[in-house]
Amino acid sequence: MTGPEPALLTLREVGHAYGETPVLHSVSLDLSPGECVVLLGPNGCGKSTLLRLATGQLRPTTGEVLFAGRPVDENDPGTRARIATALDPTAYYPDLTVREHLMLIALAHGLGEAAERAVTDQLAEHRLTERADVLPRALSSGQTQAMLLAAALVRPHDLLVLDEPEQRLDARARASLGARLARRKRTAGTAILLATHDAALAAEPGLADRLVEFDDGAVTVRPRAGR
Amino acid sequence: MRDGSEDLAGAPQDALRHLHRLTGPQRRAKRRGDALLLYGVSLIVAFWLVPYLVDAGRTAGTEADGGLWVNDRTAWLLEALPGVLPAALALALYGAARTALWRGPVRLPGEVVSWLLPTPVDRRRLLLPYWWAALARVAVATLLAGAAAGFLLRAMVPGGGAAWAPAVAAGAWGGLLTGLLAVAAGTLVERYEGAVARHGRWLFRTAAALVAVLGLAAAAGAGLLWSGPWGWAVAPLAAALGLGGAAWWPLAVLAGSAGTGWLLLVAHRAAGAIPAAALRTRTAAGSLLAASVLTGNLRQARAVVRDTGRPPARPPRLRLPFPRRPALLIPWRDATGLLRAPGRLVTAALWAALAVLLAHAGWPLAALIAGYPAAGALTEPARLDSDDTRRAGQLPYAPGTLALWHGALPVLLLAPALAAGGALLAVAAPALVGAALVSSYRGQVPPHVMIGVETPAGNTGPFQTALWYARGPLVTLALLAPVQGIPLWAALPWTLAVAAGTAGWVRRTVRYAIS
Repeated sequence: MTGPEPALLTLREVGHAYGETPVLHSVSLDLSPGECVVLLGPNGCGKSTLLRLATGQLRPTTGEVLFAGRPVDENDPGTRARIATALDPTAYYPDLTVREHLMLIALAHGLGEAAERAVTDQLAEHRLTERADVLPRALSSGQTQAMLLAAALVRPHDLLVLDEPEQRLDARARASLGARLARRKRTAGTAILLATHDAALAAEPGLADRLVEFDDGAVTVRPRAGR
Repeated sequence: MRDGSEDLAGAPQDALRHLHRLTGPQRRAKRRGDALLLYGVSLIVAFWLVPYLVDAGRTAGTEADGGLWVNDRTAWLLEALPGVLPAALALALYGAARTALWRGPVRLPGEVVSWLLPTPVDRRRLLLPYWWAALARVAVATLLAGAAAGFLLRAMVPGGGAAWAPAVAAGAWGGLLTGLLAVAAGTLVERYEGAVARHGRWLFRTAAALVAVLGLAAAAGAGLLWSGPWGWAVAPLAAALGLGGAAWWPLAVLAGSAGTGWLLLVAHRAAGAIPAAALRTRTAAGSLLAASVLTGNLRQARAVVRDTGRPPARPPRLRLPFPRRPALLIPWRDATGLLRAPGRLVTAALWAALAVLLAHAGWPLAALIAGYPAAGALTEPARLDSDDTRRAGQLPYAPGTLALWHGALPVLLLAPALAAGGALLAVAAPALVGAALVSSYRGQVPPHVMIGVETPAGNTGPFQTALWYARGPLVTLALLAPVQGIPLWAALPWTLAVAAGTAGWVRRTVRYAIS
């Protein structure tokens, strides 16, 4: 099943193995602008692997992954300018404060004069304003996760790739995460590829267009109930 | 409903007995490994130390063997011993306390920390055997080292006036005292980890200042036998060697023994109450350190030692204004990082100063070599990117381009600093920074390099590994060397070509490292 617009991200018969251990086989999936696909499945089923294949962090053993019609390359500046990720819990500079980290990313993406406002908004949205001028070492694990989410959202992007973003967030942040993602999808036309264990997040109104369920390396794609 | 307290009263002891039975094979295997290690160390000691000891015993107090044991240097050592040795022991105790921040005398295997600690076993019964084992190891090692030191120092006494047995016994006692104090200090650091984290900064700075004062006093010729436990440990040895200032050595023995005994009692009580978090931290650090050393990742090893047990981060006081031009973004990032690690700037300044001095002394090649560590210190922010390439994952730069941007600020800082040593040294700055970036992005040493090949002269692995680590500066300095000492107009094109070549090499290295 494809979305209404030309696909932004295409996985075509993608398979991946870690050494002799197959994880995914023959996965095909398209993601169009403004679409959200949620990956569901037990631990070890291949959700994170699929996300890393989609962003080019891993190369598929078989098949191909295309972003905007070209093979995805995580080291290509054009790809990095368009895909935002929150996949790695340690992907931050230990010697920059939260604010500096976000400003670096915002300025690098050409926000210019608007960078400061964008960073202030993200700090407020993720309840990091009072921790904005501390180093990451002084943050709790939940605040670190919030910082990584803010870093992904502070910059412009066409595709947002998130791996269990609800992990380590407190109940209030979890509860609002789905609504924030749905709002971004609606207003900015962002495509979202999201892996989660949180049923409430997957069921957030206005967020998921399709659900991908994993079964022994293969996937089943179905529209979310009610769509 | 069962009242669990009665039923579980014997459970911890049962759990420990069951664990003892299950771990029998592993303990026997570990004992065999320890025995093999002891055999190896004994062989090394026997081959290297025993001949010295035999020679010292045979020629003690004379100028035989070309004055190996009695000469001006040994005379100076004996004269300075009442100051130098206590200062050295104070430094050793400081080092033991600092090491306990990440290592601790009490170290548990990973599986015990992960599986057994969270259960309601008797913590004291679990931890004290490890503490006693650490104490025994340190006590034996320092007793033997002290005895050997006493023996060798006795051999340096001119004319052989001192008796052997008192010198050896005093050395052994002094070594044992120091070892026991080190374990006690380390245990308390481990037990009161929280307090150390909160107040450790000023505690360790005070201790470091004390050690520095002792060192200065020793350098000025002052005797320190009565300055503290580190001096009491040396007093009997000084008396046995007939040195001055140790007439009241029995008091030192009494004070040292009583004080150490009391401290050991306190440490023994503390050892059984070491928090689980402290044990987990040290076990994890130990595993990571071992893995880092085995894979040749010395940077990670240093980071483990530096970062474990660090006090909580304070908000940085120095914050640079955000740049408005995109071209200044990475230099801003690097400048911020360097300001937060001022030691790197000091290191760079010192090496640059040495390079300038060497250039003025007429040693241009040595000046160039000294310039490389200066460049290396300034490329620390690049190492943060190479340590974990995901850190730059949100930035819209190709990794190779980002690596080269990390060279901008170091060149801007290094070139003017080296200019004091001459224009030729200054124009070498880009190439030196390029070499430093190649080193920053080299990644982990490949296994086939570490393994090497067997030759009649031995395995080439260590030599290959050293070459692999140093290839950036080795190649760059070798290319720059021929043009040192010639006029600038002749050297400039080649120097700039080398710089361009290292820039390409940086890109290639980054591409290889991330592939």
